[in-house]
Amino acid sequence: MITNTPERDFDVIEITNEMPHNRMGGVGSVIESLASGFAAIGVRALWYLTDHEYQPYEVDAILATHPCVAVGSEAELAHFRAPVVHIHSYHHGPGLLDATAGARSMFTIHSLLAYEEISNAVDLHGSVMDQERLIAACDEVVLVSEAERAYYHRLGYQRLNACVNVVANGIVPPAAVLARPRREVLGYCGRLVPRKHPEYVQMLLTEPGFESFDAMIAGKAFSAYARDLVRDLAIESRVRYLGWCGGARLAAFYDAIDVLVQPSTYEPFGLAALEGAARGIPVVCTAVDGLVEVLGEHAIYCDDTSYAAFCRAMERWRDMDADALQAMGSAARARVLQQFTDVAMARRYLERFRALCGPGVDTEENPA
Amino acid sequence: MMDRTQRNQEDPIAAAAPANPPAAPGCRAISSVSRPCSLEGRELVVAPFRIERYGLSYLSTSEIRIGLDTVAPGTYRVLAVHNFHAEDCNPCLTECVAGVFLAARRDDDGWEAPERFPIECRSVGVLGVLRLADDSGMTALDP
Repeated sequence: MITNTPERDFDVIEITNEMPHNRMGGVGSVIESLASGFAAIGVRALWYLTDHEYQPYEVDAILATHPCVAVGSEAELAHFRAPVVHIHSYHHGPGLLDATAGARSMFTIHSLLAYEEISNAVDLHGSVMDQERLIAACDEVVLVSEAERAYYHRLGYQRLNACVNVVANGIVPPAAVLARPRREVLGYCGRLVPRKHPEYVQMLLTEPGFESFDAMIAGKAFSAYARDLVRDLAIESRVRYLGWCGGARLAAFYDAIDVLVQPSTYEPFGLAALEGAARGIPVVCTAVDGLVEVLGEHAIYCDDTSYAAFCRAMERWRDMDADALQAMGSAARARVLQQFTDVAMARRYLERFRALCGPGVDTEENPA
Repeated sequence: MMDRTQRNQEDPIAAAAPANPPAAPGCRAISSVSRPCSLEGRELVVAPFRIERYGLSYLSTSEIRIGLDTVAPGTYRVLAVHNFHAEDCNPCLTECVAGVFLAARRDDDGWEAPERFPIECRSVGVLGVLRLADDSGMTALDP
């Protein structure tokens, strides 16, 4: 086990396989916001990195840039103490909770893998079983949206664990970019997986009224389908795949686009939509799951998840005047600042920790 | 096989660059090289390269060394790919992180495609063709 802190007692041990460093997915972004939120309200957290894929030089970088990090095995968790352990990753053996004996356990599910399996038409059977085992083993399950809670019940998971609550994600509020000159650039952000329908934004480039537009795609994983699509539609020069964007590149992406599109059929939360809305960028999306909970009435929704409905929604966006777009962007940003900041998320988790453990979790801001 | 995430420095396909290259204030400029690949003993050496395609620049900023001892005998295309797995923090949106993928020639005379699972990266250019013989033969690189 290697750590950069001499402390052994914390308010919470956050167990994760991903830190905000060469992130593998959205969990790294959530960890980043949780860290800043906890710091703001005085929750002393240990970030325990296990079951990870980082190379030694990356572990060194993480230890050098993030306070209170430990990297080790499940058994080595026993070196640390906290009233609650909060788990974000999926693949753990039965020894995980043994090593935290005495602590209450909370498992945040960032995505229900059974629905990822259905919506992406992939075989995740082993991972689904791991997630179900952890659901059953923990004291409390946290989901990231009410929509996820409905899916949780639909899957019958309340039989595995009936103690389930919702804690919405939050982000560090970025600077607003409300006065946006139109550059005729459509933006998509997210993994390039079937359930998110990244192809819609590319297909749209060939529709009447969008011939002068380009698209920027920010996200992980390319595919033969994407390669063939842009070639067959003869739009290779109009679609910029930017790859897996983080930090300043992600900010530059948001600065460059006129509109963010999220035509997903399943979206547990909608972190990219939240990032776009926080900047005042108009969002065109399907009215599904976490997207509706994040954006409320401040988005342009597709009537359904079809491509035709997406085209109609994009036409509505294209025909809106600058004042209407700015008003929608301002309202969306205000909603984010009110409900979905890093500090708001941290407070929601602190409330759950206290409900789970009693007043043992005290903070500088709110002493028990 | 390829340096999927540009993480595994122990892999036969070596890491090309730090996973998070330092953010540059502007766009970096690296000269293209006419002959990016060479062989040094049982290592394939790929010099830093820059490829212009699809309106973007694909950059590999560090020398890549690929140990060939654990690569199966056969013929491979040395492909430059857009690495979709390494988090890219470069604010210059016309530049992308490149990696190297050894695409094996298949039995049907086609080539492995880096776009397919689990690699899921975009091919942006052919850097050379590698012929790896078994222990008794010679290893050759074209061009």
